[in-house]
Amino acid sequence: MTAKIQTNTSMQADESPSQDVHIALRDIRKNYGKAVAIRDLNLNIDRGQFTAIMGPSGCGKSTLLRCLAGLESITTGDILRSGRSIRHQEIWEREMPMVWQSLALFPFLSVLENIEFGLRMSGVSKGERHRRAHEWASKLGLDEYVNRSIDQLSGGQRQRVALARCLVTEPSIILLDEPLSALDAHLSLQMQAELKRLQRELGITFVYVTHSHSEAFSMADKVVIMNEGRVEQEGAPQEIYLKPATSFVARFLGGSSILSCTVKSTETDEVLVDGKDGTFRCTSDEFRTLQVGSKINLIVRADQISLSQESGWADNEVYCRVVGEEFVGALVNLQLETASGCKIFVQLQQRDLKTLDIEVGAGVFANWHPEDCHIIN
Amino acid sequence: MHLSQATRIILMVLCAGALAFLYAPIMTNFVFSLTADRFPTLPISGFSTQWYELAFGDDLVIRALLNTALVALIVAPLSTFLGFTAAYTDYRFNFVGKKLLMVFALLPPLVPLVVSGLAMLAYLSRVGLSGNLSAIVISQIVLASPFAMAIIRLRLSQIDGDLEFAAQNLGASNWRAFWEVIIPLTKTSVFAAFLLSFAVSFDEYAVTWFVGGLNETASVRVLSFLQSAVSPRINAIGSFTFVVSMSLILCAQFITLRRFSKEKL
Repeated sequence: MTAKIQTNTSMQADESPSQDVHIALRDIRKNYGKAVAIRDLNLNIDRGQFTAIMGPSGCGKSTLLRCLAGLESITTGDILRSGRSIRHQEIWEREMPMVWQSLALFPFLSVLENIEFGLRMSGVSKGERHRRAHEWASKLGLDEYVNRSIDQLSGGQRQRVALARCLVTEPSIILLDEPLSALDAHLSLQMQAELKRLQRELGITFVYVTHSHSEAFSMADKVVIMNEGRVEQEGAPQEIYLKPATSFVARFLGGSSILSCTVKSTETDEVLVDGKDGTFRCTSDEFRTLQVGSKINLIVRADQISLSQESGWADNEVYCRVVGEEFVGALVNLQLETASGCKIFVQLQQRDLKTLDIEVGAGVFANWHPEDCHIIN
Repeated sequence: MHLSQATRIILMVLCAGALAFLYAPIMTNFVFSLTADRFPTLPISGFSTQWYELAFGDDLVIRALLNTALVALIVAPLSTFLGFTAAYTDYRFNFVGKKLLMVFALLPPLVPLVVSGLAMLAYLSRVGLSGNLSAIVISQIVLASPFAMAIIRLRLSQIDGDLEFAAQNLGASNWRAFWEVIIPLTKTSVFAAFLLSFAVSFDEYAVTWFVGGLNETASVRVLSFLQSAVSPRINAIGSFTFVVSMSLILCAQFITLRRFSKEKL
């Protein structure tokens, strides 16, 4: 009787309109002995979305993926798939194929045999297996290589075999553990575009773990930033980029200047805050609720700061010394330091740098508008 | 590295010298097993297979050879199995004291054979197993399985630890993943381990002599011949044993090394 009721509820869960949550992680904790890899983590992974989980090494992102796949058991908490707990499901019952960082292709099998492996495990007939494996091989441009052995393939081709091996069973979700980290930059970019295209076309859920900002931000619908086993921030890439929620996120993503300040006055539309290097005006909404005397971290994005040789260009300015420069294509990332030792990051077009005529060691004014100031925790 | 002609010649001479030093005794054995003389003297008066005929015409020798074959055929598969399970345990599982366990598992061949032999004799006679073929089998398994384990462990250490999990991730149960991944990847090294265990069993005489009682294997028979009277038959049996065990070991080496060079490509 109880069993019957349970089936009924789970069926309802499957049919319910709140289906867009594919995987729900509830209060997940994972301990290795005394070390805590994941602490009280809650996260929803939406159906048919590309979710990228990123963070510095050791933040627990790979452990989280391994818990999802069932390679690690969680200490406490629950993992729900379409509302049903899969916590006690065996690895081979979960149907969440994974693209491994090491790729983990079977070296003793041909490309085709690698691709059809999952189908063979689920007892699909030989003819059908071949047909579907060939179909996926051709979708991923592996037609001419199906009879080769794995060691005759290039890095990019291996990557495709690993993907085809996951997708051939037509799963509703696949897991990817830093799959592009072994590829060179050019190939990685190409694969990023391809992965995104595949995900869109197939409409299946991708959970992608990476430490690379560019991979996460270029492909994902939702980015989850982890630190010390917790979720620091989750949201659309643009949202995280524009408004990092914590100073960890801001520092991790880089390119934002963080100034610790004290609120001086809130009387007018403009809130004045005192920093070590001067007083700044802020006008964005989040400042309105502040009280005089409270301490805040002010953050300004690198692309919103401009440089000038003279004072008086914008409402906020601070005098700095240039301590470093890095050229990335047509852009240049400058690192400045204020008199108090605070780091300011600025991103400019290379041609602007030329007109400014500044070099490392020179003094310069960094300027930004009151509406570009934000608060982070 | 560039070497001058002179250095090259010196190196070749040194190599030849070292090989001669290693193999001269065995070659002597070979040569004198095929002479017509009663005593090993030079110059050799003629070629003859009489000592082989004499040796293989001896009932004791034949029985010893049959014992050797029987024992080796039991020892080799069992040692390989034990060695495999130990090697796989080391590859797949982590637990407290694993390192210590591995050290103990590899230890038996390093214990002086006299000590092992005496210990085996004392222990097996206490449990009523000394003086028969099963005693020989048991002692030789103890000596051979660490070799089997070492060979299989070497192979497993080259295998990506994710592969088995990748198979499980694609729907293979524990056992299925093991059969689909570990067996294909280790089968040649398992075969090599089998050959090596066979060779170890084939050669072993010290512990066998202690525990075997009246049961003799071929190598123990050589020992008995030596104790009674020096006869060129020893050369014949010795040469035969050498050829068989060296072929086994070379086969095992060939299989393991071929694997290596293949993967380096």
